[in-house]
Amino acid sequence: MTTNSAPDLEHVLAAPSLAPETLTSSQPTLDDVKILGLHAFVVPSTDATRAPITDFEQPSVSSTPATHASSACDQQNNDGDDEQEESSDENKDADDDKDNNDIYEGDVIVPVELTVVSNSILEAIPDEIWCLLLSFVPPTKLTTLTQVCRRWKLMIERDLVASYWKPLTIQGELLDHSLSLDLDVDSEHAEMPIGLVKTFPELVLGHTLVICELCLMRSKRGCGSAIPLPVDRQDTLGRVWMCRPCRRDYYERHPEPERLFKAEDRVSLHGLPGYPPKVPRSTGPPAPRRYYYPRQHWGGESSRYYDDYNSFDESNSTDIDWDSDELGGLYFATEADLEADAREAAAKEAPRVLKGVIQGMGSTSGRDTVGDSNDQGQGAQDSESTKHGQSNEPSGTLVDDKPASADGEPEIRLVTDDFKGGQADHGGEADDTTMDDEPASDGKAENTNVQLENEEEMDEEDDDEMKEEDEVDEEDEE
Amino acid sequence: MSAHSQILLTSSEGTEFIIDRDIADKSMLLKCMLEDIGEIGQAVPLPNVSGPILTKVIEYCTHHRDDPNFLSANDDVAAEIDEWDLEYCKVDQGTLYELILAANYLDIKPLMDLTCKTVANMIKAKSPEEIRKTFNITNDFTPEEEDQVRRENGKGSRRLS
Repeated sequence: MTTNSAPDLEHVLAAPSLAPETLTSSQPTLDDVKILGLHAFVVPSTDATRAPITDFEQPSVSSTPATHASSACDQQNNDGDDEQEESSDENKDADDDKDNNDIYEGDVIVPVELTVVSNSILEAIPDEIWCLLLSFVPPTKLTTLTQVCRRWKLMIERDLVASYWKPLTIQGELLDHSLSLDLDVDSEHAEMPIGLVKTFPELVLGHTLVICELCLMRSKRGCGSAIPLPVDRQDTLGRVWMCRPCRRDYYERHPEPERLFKAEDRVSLHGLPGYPPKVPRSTGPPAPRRYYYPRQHWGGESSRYYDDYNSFDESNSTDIDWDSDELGGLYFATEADLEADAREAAAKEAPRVLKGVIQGMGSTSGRDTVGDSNDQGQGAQDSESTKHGQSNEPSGTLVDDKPASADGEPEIRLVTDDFKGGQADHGGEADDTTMDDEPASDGKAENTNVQLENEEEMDEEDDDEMKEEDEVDEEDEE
Repeated sequence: MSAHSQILLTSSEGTEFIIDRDIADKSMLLKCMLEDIGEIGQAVPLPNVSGPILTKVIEYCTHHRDDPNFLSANDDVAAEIDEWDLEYCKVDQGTLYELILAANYLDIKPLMDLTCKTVANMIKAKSPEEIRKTFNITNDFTPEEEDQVRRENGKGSRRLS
C-alpha cells in the first residue's frame, strides 16, 4: 500500500501505464505537449478497473474524484500489482514529509493527474465548434476578430453567414420584405447583392446601434432609452449593450447599487483600450459639507433684511470696487501691498484723528461739540490710538500727551508753530482750544485757520504719496 | 429498464466509472446508444474522453440530474449562467477545450453551450493580438491585408465596447 505523493515528472511521463493504444488521435503526444500543472494522476491498469461514482455531492469526491476512483479500484484489485507497489515505494521514500499530510492514507497510489495543454488540442477543435463558439460573441466584437488570422476571417465572413448573420438579420427584422428576398436560412445565396449593402454582415453592422447584444433583437425605437445601453454585468459577460427590456429584466434580478455618479459609471470610457484609466476625483479628505442657512439668518441680529450685499457685510467696499479689481475680484495681496495699505490707511486716518482729538478736547471742556456722540466716541478712540504713537503725523502738528488730570481724563494739547505765538499773546486760553461753531477770540480763529491749512497740506501730501505709490506700482507691474 | 440502473463507462485510459442511468441520459450519445442496444452489462468505451475530463462531465451531469429544463435551459443566448456553472468553468484553458470536445462528443448541449459561452466571453474581452497569444495563432495577414481589414472594421464597428 502506498500513499499519494508529489509526482516525479520524469517518472510520470515514463509511466508505463500510459498505454499508447488507449490514447486517441486528439490527445497530444508527449513531444509537443506543454505542461501547465500537476494535480493528480490516474494510473489506469491494464485490467478493467472499476470506479463506482454514484454520488458527486460528497466534497472529497468532487475535489479529487480521480483519486477516489483509483483508490476504489485498488481496494477491489487487492495488492497484486507489484510494479505499482515498487513505484509507489520510491515515491514514498522521496517524499516522506508529504506523506504525513496524506488524507488518503492506506489507499493506493495515484500520484497525479497530469494537466496538459497542447496546440494539438486547439487544432483538434473543428471549424463547426469554432463557429458555434464564435456565435456567442456579439456582432460588433466579431468584426474585430476578423483581424486575428485568415482562418478566423473566413469563418466569420463565410461560414457564419448561414448560421449567424442571416438568422440575426431575420430575427432583428432588418430585411426589407418588399424586396422579396429568399429568407431561407439554408439557402445557398448567402450574399445580398442589393444596393450598397452587399452582405448580411454589413446589414447587421449597419444596425449595430439598435441591436441588443444579449437578445440580439432590434429596438423598435431608434432613440432615447429604447436603444441598447452598456451595462456592466457581474457575471462573465462583462459589459454588454442591452436593450431596455433586457436591462429591466437584469436589474430586477440584480438591483443596481446606489452610486454617486451613475451616468459616469454607465457611459464612462475609462479602461477601454485607447482611453486613459479612471482617475479618482480627490485623494485627500472629503470636502467640508456645504451648509444652507435659513432666510432668518440673513436678517442678522436686528432681524432686518438688507438691500444688497454691501449693506450686509457692512464694509465700505462695493460690488463695483470688487468687480473693478485688476484680477476680476480675485486679488491676492503681497507683503509690500499690505505695508502700502497700512501707510495709506494711516495717512487717511490722520485728519480724522486730529479732528477727533479736537472734538475730544471740546467735550472735555464741557461745551457743545460739533459732532454727535458717535463722533465723540470715534474721537476718543483716535486719541487713544494717538497715544500709542502714530508716526504718520503731519509736520507742524504735535499732539502732546500730558499726565492725567485730577478727573482721570487725559488732557490733550494741540500745539502748532503758528499757534505757539498766539499762545504767547493770549496766555493760557489756548490750552482749552476746541472746534466750535461760534466765533471765538482772534487766537482761536487763527488756530482754526491753521488747522484747516494743515489739513489741506496733509491732503496734498497724501495725494503725493498716493501718486508716488501708483508710480511705484506701475513700475513694478512693468 | 429501471431509472436507477447503473451504467459502466470506460475512459480513454481504461478507468471505469459507474453512473446512474438518469445521469447517462443527459448525454444524447449515451442515451441513444443505450436505447438502441439496451443494457448489456458491459462497459461503454469512450475513447475520446480522458478520465479527468469524464469526471468533470459526470460532475456536471450529476449536478443537473434533477433539472427539468436541462435540455432547453441554454437555448436562449441571453440565458444567465448560474453561480455553480461559473465556478464549474473556472478551470485552465486546456481542460476547458477538452470539455468542449467531450461535450461535443457526448452530445451534451447545455455543457457545450456553457463552455462555448465561457470561451466566447474570454475572447470578447481580448484584442486580436491577445487572442493570437492566447490561442497561439500566427498572424498570416500581409501588412496590406491587415490594414484593409482594420479599415473595414473601423467602418463597420461603430460601438466602442
